[in-house]
Amino acid sequence: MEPAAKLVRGKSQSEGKIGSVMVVGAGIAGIQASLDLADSGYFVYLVEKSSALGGTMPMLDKTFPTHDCSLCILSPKLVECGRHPNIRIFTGAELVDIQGEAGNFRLTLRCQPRFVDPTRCRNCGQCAAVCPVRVPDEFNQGLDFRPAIYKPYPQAFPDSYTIDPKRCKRCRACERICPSEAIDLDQKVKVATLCAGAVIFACGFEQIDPRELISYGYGRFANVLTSLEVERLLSAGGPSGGNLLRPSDKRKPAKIAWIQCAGSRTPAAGRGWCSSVCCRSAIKQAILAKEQAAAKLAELDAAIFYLDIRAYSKGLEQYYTKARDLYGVRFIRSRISELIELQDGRKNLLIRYLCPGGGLGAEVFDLVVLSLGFRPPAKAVELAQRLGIKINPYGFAEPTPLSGVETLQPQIFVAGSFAWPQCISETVTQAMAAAAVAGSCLDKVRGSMVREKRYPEQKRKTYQEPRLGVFVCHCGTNISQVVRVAEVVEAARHMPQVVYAADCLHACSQDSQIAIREAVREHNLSHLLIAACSPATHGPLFQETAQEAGLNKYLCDVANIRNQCAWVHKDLPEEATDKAKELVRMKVAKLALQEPIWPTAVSLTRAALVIGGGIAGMSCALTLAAESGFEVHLVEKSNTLGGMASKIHQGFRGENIPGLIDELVDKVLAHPRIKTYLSVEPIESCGGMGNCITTLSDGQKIRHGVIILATGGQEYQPSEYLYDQSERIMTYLELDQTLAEDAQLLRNSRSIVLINCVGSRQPDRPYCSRVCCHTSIRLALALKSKYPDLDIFILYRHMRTYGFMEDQYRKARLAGATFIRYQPEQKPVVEKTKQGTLRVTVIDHVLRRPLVIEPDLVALAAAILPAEDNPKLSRIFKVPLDEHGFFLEAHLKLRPVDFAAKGVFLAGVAHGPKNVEENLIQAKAAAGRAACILSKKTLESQGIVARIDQDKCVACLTCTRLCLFNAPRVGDRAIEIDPSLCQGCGTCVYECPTQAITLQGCDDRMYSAMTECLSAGVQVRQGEFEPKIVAFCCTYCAYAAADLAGTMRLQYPPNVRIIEVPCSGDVGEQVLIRTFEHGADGVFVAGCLEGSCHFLQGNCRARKRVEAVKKILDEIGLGRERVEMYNLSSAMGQQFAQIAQQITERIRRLGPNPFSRAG
Amino acid sequence: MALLAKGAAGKGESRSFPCLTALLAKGAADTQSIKNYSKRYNYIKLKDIIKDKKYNQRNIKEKIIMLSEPSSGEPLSDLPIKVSGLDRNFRFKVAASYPLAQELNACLTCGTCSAGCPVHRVFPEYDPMKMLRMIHLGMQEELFHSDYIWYCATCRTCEQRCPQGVKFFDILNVVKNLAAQAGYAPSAWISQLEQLRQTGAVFPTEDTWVARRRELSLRPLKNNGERMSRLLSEAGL
Repeated sequence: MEPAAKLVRGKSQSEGKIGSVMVVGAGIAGIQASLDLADSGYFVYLVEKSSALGGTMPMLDKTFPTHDCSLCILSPKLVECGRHPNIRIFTGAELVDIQGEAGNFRLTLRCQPRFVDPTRCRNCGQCAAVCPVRVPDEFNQGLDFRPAIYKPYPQAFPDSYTIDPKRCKRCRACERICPSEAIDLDQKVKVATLCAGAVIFACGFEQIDPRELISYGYGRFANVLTSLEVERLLSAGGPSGGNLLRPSDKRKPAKIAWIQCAGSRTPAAGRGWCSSVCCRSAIKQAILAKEQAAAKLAELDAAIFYLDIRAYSKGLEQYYTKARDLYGVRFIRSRISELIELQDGRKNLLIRYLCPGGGLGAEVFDLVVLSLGFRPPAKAVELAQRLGIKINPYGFAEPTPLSGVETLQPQIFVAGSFAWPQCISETVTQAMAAAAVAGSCLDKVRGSMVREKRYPEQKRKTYQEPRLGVFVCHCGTNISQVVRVAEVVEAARHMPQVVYAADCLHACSQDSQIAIREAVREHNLSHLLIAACSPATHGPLFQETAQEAGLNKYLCDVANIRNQCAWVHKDLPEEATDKAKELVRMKVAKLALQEPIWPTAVSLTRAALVIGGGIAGMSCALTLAAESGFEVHLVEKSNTLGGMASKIHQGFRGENIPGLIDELVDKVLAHPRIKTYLSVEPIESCGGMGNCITTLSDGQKIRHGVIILATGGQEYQPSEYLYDQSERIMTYLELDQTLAEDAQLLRNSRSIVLINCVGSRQPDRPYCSRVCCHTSIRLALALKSKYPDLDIFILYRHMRTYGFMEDQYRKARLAGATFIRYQPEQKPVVEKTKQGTLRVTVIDHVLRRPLVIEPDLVALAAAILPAEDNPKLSRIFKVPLDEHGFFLEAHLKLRPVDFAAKGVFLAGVAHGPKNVEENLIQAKAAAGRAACILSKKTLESQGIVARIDQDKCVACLTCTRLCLFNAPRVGDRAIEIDPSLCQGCGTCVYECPTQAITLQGCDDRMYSAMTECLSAGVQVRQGEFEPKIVAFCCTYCAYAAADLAGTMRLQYPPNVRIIEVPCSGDVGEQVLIRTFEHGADGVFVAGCLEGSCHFLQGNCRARKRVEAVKKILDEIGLGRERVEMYNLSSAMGQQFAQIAQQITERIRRLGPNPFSRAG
Repeated sequence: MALLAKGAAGKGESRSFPCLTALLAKGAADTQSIKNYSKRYNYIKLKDIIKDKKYNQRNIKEKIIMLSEPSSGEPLSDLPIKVSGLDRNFRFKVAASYPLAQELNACLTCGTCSAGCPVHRVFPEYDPMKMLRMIHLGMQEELFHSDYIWYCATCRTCEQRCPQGVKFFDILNVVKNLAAQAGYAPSAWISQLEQLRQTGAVFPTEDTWVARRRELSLRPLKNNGERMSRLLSEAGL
């Protein structure tokens, strides 16, 4: 860190606004907000009170529901944040004062000294070894001990040790031993004054103190743990090396109970809110604990004592049912009164609970986990109060109604769990939204404070004799606990052209990055291969490392030995190690042929196309257009703006929704840079990020740089509960309308029954519609206030009133609404009596007796369905849908509004059901992400494009007819390929009769070199023939599916070698045939699902080619069964594993390839 | 709080009353009769098992497995409840009649009260959550006719643990008052009151105690019946 005084930066010109933003809190929210702002033209001061970035997320073992390793997905962001030229990080710092006005704040920071200079510290750890102090390690939740000089966690940034001044004994032993003289114990507190145009508060949360829950005995009973302690115990990097053990005797527990709502949903103790995340994380922990036990062939009984399982977010309802039905996690609806530690010498815990079926149950558990809730951080609350940010009665920052991120103070925003308890993906979305709105307010000074990142000059020569460096990553223990890393390193050392090979604990960590750069210098390496995790997540990071080392980024490649070896063959260390070696050998062979690729700058159309004129679309358009922002084309299918929200009259906290819509519509229509197109829809779109042309149904063509899909949803028309047989039975939207009209029907009613989960959470539509529970509560309160004598019954399954909606739920109960929990097996029965009245019969969940209600009205919480146009739009814009028809984002946690395809974003119900406020937040987030692209000066062309050898070209025009992106053009004497339009699919390459076209970085020679690396000879293991199978997987879908199979730890036979291809259409017939020549026993090609090829038709072309190859194989006597074509989406990890299983069995039956060398 | 209203004798008199407090009130509370009750309700005194070091672990496990079966899963009645026959204002009436009872409808039906209730462990039909539900739904008649509203041991564990701050003890008192007003007080309570009125003490003085006091040269116990009787009539009983 530089001395604080130097950091004061000059003011910028325009209206006294300053093009920098301060982000307070460096958890995932702060990190994401900082990255987005820094990428869209602002300088960022990231202020963190602890000594390292990361917040709570690095403490977590895995994230739900995909079980991504939390640190693995966070780590690239930590590194990116840490080395971003436009983010300045202050650790140990607290914001103490804000002066000035919106757009030009003067901020005072108090920075605690680190005592260790991060620029000098080499992380050798000698200081920690000599430190005499041992104190509980906060990062590990006090489950083990650390010295006073320590590094919070190995991947921490700043990548250096730090001294805890409260614990340091000033013995100066560390100072004496430090070889790099990095320690200075005489550092003093510094005060820094900075100027920024906006401030984002992302202060996160604290855990509720478990000791306050006296009857649960935390601290008194040895085997009672908190949820974060369990995360640390489950984590491979945690104090027990990833083994969930009982604290009392370090034995494996056989019976674990999770107690939900520990501390939350307790208005009696002043904590009425629901912490939203605990249900989902308890399910995750139960599954992980079960998996861990199963891996060791042990039985584990996991019971979750809950009140309502609040698995409302995307994919979580299915996760819950999977945990219950597949993993056998027991879910018991009962709140626990007390825990009793048994005096049996084992310190087991007795839980007495009221059985949902009646009577009292008592069970003894080895381990009890308290799913502790969130509370706002005390210090942040104090600061926020001082700054005039509205704090709700519980101490959380309260954004202004329907803004999602704004506070009462202009240009001061909140994001993350400081606003309300939320999970990672919601936190990330809100952070993106806060960054977007902050950026949108400062857009006149965008770019005024930023600095460009300069890389060392890259050598322009092509290499006569490549000098490869191979780095094999342990990934903590993720890889090394299965794959024998040392052996892989040794094997790599002897591969042709490899001059250096080494291993590293975490290749992505800052220290390894330095080591890699040093190695490049020292050994004069020309190419880098990192054998680690997926290139999809870490490729860009390693490419940047290469650039920093002075190499062209395309000379760096990643061999995926984690997702494709360690995680999927965890019981086969031998085979996994062999496979890892072979994957490395293949990549080495490929890389040796790789030449530098020089990107060409592409111009950029600074306009966005927003599809859907609902609140999400409009809000997104307004955030992008802002004061002097970007041009926006807003396309709406119907003839009015407003969408579904125009049928809603009130927000969940009584907000005025019609008012909001009117305001948005007026602003949109009046905005000079927003062009609205009504009653039209897109029919065709071509081009890629930066430059697209979309044709509308009326023939207009729109040029734009990015696309945002905000297509909304629709209400399900129920077929159940006699919906269509009586006007007295209506949906919630219809009831809302009836209520707004104060209809006679309602005024004359004495009682009403509201039924939740109609059409949702059932086998044919397993997702949760998320808003219905809230809506039922809102309607009940509105009905009660208007018609106090109306008797209201709400029939529900799980009341999912997360966050502060829990208060409304309580209000509704106090107002007298009767809540009855029904089981899906015993749904309520709605009948019409002979007299024509309605009768609803439901089993009362407490008394377990049928309750016969004769209501005047029945209202149904009809499910939210995806927009019917989604499949069409999915084809037009080449973006995937999930299995229910909502759009599928790039990453559930960290890229919630991005598609995998660059330059396309999603917002609102198009992504999945959500309420008005959440829609607005997501819309702003999508706008912010789009602004990151639109604010760039130029875009660099996608590196990998097709090149044509004009001497070979005979201008037959085959390529011009084939290309769907209009990249090849007829030039003077031959065809020219426009690199900015070329998407790099390689479709033309194999159709060119003169073979004049090559795809940079994925040519024929490379595939051939890779398949040549297949181990020779027929392999036989345990008397059984082990086939060699090569899979050509499209990077967008099938390769991602294989990655997912790894992330899900699905086990499949180790016979499959995956070769990543830019598109399945890039795999030519000759490549397939040659693979057999090189000894493969079977080959399959896996592309995207039909209709969702990123390059439109690549997968169809691949299918044709595979069919042709089948014929050839028949003719030459190999047999058509040896080659196959599959279509997968990136969400189909399970299917990928099944395919690998099936094809291995099939080829095993067929026997070895007769051409196999030495066979 | 006034516990009994005028004319409270009546309906409760003829019923047998299997309640611990009632037994104590009758002075019949010896260990044997409690054990008999325990047997009758299939009750295993868990605390004893746990405290008794002689039990080995396996034994405890067995006992606990026995307990892990629902002790009494059967509802008292499985007849359908017709909302039209309920007093839907009962919950508001109860909530309004005493300040500490007003959060009655906040009940989440989470079961914390019943799970921690020491009486529920002995008498499964005494189930605070169920009683709250009956109050909420308006099953006034059924409540008044039941014996178990009188079982409460007044330990207030339910209130301590209730996340919603529902004061079940106070709510139950309101219900007991209403029941008594309607003439549903049990005979034990009546006899207890009678005892109080006559002697000024809730429990009868046994002859052995009197003799023992004499032996120890303690002064004889005073009969406060007259004073208590005056107090009770002033309180309207």
